[in-house]
Amino acid sequence: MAKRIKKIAELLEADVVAHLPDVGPGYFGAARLERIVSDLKKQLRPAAGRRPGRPTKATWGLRPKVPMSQRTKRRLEKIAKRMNSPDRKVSPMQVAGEILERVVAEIDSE
Amino acid sequence: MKSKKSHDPRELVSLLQASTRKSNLLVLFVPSRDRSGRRVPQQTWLNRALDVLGRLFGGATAYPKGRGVWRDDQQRGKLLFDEPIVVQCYTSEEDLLREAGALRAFLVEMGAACRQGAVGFVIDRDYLEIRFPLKTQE
Repeated sequence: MAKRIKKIAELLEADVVAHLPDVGPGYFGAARLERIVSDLKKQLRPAAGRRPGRPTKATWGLRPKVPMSQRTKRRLEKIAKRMNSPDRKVSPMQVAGEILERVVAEIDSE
Repeated sequence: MKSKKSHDPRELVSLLQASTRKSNLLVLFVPSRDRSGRRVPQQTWLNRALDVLGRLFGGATAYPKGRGVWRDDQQRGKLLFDEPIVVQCYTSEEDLLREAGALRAFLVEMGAACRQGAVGFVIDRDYLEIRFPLKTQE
């Protein structure tokens, strides 16, 4: 995200009309979703220790129960399955965690 | 060839001997119709857009025509349908700040010549508009 968007808009004498969501429909939405999962995969690291287990993000220290519908769970499973690669797998709930963190951060900054 | 090891982006940049300098995305929409619904010379303006973005920011990519709609609030909410061409350009904030004047000059020229209500563009995740007043003959 452009950090100096206000300054750039001022120089262009343009109005910032809308801030786009990180995930939306269509081609651009798909591209953004792909980037979210791709970023997540790059940040996943096996924990230190003799039994490191599933790779996770260093900043994820909690495992809260988050309620959701079956439909959402199925969609997350579908996204995770599509984004998995031989060298790095992501779970549906890791995808959920990453999306949730981004949305909350965005709300927080508004 | 499959690699077991995953690299962080900085490591990949070094391995690929690439540069991360252009990390901001500018998206332009080249219109096909004016705000009265008349066709405009879209290919001419697409060529101009690619020329300007190439010169100012080092490159750009145009995608096949899409279908679009824009609500013209100065014409009582009239819906204007057209087939814009989306042009993507990877750049940097520094280049955007430095070339803002030249970029604006092009956008205003295209908007005025194509008789648009507004020229819309996207920088990363912000949608911006340069608006044009409605002329009486329109």
